[in-house]
Amino acid sequence: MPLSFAAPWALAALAGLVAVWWLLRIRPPAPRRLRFPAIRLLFGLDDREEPPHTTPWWLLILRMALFTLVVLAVAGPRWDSEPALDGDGMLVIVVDDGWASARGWESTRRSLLQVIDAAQARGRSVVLAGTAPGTDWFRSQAAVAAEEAARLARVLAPQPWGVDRRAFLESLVGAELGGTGEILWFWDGTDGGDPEATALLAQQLSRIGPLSLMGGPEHEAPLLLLPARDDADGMAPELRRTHGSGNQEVWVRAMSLEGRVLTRVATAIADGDRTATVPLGLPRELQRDVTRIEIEGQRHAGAVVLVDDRWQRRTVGLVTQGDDYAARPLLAPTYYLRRALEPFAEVRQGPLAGLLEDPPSVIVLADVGQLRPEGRDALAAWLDSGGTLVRFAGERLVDADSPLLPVKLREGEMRALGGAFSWEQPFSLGPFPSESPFAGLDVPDDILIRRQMIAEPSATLDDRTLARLADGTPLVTAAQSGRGELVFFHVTANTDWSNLPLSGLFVSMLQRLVERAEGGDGLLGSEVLPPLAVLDGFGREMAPPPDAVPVGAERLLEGIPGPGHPPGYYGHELFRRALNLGGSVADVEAYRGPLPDGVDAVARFGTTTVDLSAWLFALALALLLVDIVAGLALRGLIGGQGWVSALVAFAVLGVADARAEEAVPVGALAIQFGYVVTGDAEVDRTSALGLTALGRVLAARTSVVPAPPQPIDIERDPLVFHPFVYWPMTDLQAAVSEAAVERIEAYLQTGGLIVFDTRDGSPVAQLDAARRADPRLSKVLGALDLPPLVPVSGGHVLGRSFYLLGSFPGRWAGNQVWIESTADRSRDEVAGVVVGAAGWAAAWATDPAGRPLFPVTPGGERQRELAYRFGVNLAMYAMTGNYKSDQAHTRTILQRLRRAAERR
Amino acid sequence: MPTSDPAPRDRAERLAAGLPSFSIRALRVAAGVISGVHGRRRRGRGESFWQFRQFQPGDAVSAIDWRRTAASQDIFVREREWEVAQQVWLWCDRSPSMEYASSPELESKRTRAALITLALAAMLLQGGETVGLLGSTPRTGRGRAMLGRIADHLGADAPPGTGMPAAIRVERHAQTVLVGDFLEPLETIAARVRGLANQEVAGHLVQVLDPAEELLPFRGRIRFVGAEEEGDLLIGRVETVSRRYVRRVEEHREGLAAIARKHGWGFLTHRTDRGPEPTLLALHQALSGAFDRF
Repeated sequence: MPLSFAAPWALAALAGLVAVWWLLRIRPPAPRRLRFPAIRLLFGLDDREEPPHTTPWWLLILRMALFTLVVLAVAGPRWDSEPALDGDGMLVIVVDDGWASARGWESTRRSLLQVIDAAQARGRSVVLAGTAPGTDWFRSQAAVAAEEAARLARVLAPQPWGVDRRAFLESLVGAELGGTGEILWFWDGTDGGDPEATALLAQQLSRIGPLSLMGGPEHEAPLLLLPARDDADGMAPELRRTHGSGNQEVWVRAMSLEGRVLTRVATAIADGDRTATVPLGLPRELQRDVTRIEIEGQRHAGAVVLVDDRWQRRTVGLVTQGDDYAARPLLAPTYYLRRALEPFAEVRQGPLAGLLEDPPSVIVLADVGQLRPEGRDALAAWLDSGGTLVRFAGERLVDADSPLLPVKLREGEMRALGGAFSWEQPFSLGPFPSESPFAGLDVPDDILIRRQMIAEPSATLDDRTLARLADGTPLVTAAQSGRGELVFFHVTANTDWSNLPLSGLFVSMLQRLVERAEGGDGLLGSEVLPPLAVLDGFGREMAPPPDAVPVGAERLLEGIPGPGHPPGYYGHELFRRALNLGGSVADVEAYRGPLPDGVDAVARFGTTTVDLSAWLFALALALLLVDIVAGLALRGLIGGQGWVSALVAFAVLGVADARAEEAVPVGALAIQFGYVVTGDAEVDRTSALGLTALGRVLAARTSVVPAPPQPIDIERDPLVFHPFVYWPMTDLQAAVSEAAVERIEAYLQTGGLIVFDTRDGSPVAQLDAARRADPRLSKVLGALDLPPLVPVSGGHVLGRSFYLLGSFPGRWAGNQVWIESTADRSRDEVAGVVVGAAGWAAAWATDPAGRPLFPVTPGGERQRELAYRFGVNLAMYAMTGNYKSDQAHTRTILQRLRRAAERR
Repeated sequence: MPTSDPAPRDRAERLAAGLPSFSIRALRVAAGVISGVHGRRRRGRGESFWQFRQFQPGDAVSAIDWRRTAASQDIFVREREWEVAQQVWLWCDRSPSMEYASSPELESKRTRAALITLALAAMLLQGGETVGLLGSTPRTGRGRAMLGRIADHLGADAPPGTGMPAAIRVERHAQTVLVGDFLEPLETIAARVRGLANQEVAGHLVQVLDPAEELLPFRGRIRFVGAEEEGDLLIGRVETVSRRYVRRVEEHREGLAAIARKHGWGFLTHRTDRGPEPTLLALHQALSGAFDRF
């Protein structure tokens, strides 16, 4: 029955209705008491007997309804639409207990227990089975009593891997399912990555007995998070939804080992899309700390991606000796190496001794022949302690005695392929040996090796070869050295000997080498890694269960979790590898295939149990209010406009309150710089970012803490709130209207400051001491009534107001800055207009992380600092006027005062 | 103070604190009704200047107005207007039944009655009459000091048990103005009025009623409670008796008018939802008429 009561005995109180009826009949509402001086005149007027006063019928009904509602509410009615279980015989329950069920597991379990309860009430036996591979398909070998099934259902938990319906199907064959009355399949709604098996299973189950599908609510469809790719933008895991549609906003967060949230990113999966990429936008430094990325609010193993050491970027040291290539940077071997390594590694470049002070994971020696003895010893020690040394051949190495090589080279012998004096054609690369770290990389045909160094044949040469030419000649050789590894490319790292450094293969090879580096990872292929910490079905990290077994490296590379190999970390504290669920179940999607005839559409559980008592109580309360009002009305206590006016007053107050939130300009309450919107989005953005960055500098260095800058439409917005207004000039600049000119002049008259910036570094010196030279400026300045502009002299307050500045560079340096002449002593000698071409905002502008957006020329960061200082001075000048120039004369003024005092 | 009971005295003081404004209001009402002192319009022993006339033998030398005399050939005497001081006794009902106002916007009957009494006193005192508060001041007096005393007494609670003033000895030909709701049985009122009229005292009854007392505008089931322990009364549907009640109020009023007429007294009614001025004007004219008979 869909309607049930939590406390049915409370319904007995409904018998009290009779008593309520009787009481209400004999006890009419109490009369109103009224003091009345003229009562003497009333005596004897009401000659009738006190009439048998009855409660009005509607009041009677109202109160009876009130009583009934309260009684019903106390009885706790619930409306639930669980499917009726009215069959007989054995009840078979099949549960999808893979990761995809974890999301709505609470409701699944509740519904499961309800079903088993219902079976228990009818004394039916139950078979409980799960479709995820685990200990046993059937939790109970044969049908058990419902109590036992309930116990089993309580410990049933989703597994951190997918369901395997095909395997389950096979297990059905041997199961004893005779006498099945009903089959319930608690279905996760997905095809489990195998739609065919899903259809077959449904078919098979419906053959055993009448099948009902039970599905969780649609909105609990699980989302998958696939392991991150590392592209130019940094970590970017991929979101994938199994089913469900519509726009869905998802928050993904990255956490560090300590559980600190490093970032949260919102991503929307558009209607109709299944996937979305989530660029985390973490700076490289932070990215190294990420150990776990998860979808918020999902709580299942597929929504968690564990990040292992592979993500920690290696440092690679490029050794440079001498400076032969300073004049020819494109020919330097390090140029290619740098370009190839930088996308995935942190590259440091310098002399060997400097690099070894903070040992990198990998050191690359490109065309370095003779190492100094002390350097060689240090390098060997580093190598033995686990470093990876990658060397390249080169002219200098040819005749050098280089002990740090994996193979012995033929003394002075170099093979030239192709060219005028050779019959041989340049060779391409052969396929990589399967045990090589490069195995699996595609070899493009167009790689040609023209020269190479030849290894001395030896018994170990073959084992040590990682890559060969098409004719079998070793191209890359490697050898263990202590705990480290020594890799030698028999070609140069520049294009002198081959075009390998120009290819994408070069990058991939270096990446494999660098990834292998560090901590003995080089032998991953043969190592077996014990489980370190694993995820359960809900994506929680936990100690490995006893049945989790060490995993071979191949399995890790394949990345398929399963029974015995739950997703999690494998290895040990210093070296861990993550096994993630997401990649292996990426093809799981909503099942859209056919269902066998007679199988009902999915009954949704967990959504429709509604507790009605709260509603009944609310209704009873409403009726009570009505009753109170009615009672008052009966006694004549409600009248006049008092109530109405109170209601109206409430409404008016509400409206007034809402209206009180009239926007106050930020600039009226805080210091806020303004910039004039030019219409050029790039320029406007630069202005905004520049002023924001200047605000940060001001807040850090001075007591001025400005609010974020305000864009100003010069034709509409008020200027008065801003200490100064930055006005970049563009070619789009239109002439300003009369009204705007008036406002600008009023702003200047009241002490405002406008900074005009032509931004192009063009010599404003030819501004003709006036404003008409530049067509853009003349459109604006020509309209203003201003004193002549004069070049800013060295001693101007603008160069004194905070920092002592001799020049005012922006993005460009060396331009004259013009300022309104203050010779006429108007406005306390404070100029209102500054004109320059330095592109100050561009010099100030940084991205949100604080990195400058534009280079400054020619001065570099020193010039940027000067630009900031100019900005600080500008702000100070705008706010303190000539205060500093007064300060400059303080000493003179004090002396004068003292002299005057002495004279007296 | 007329009472030694501390609680009413507290209340009196509280009321007295508000009295200046109340007095001012009374004065303003009075000023709105009459402007200027009603002189006798003839020469007499008054205080105000009436006219100059030529000196005649027999006039007192002190009566000569030397300033006027110096301005002309003749000798002039300053004559003053003849003003007669009437004795007026006022009475204001301060019984609990007066503490009633049917709605918060209305003044209570007591406040309104006190206002009328005080305004009348102010008018009379300005006119030079001597005024007393029946049952409270031992004798009549004049001037602003008397007004203050009357205001004090009006603010204070009446001694318990006072309804209509009993037969009090007052001067012959004095005037009395009785302000109250006169809801007592007609016989009681007739006896009291007779007691005063027998002393050859002329007078006026001013009945102050709340509109609710006149119209009984209530509906529904109401238990009425008296103000002076008359008992209570439950009426099932008040709207059914209100017409008969109104008729009864009219009968009561006619009874009062008959009592007044019988002794040559005046009878005025006043409702608290109307302004006090018309009533005061009517009183003033009635009193003036009475004065002019002398």
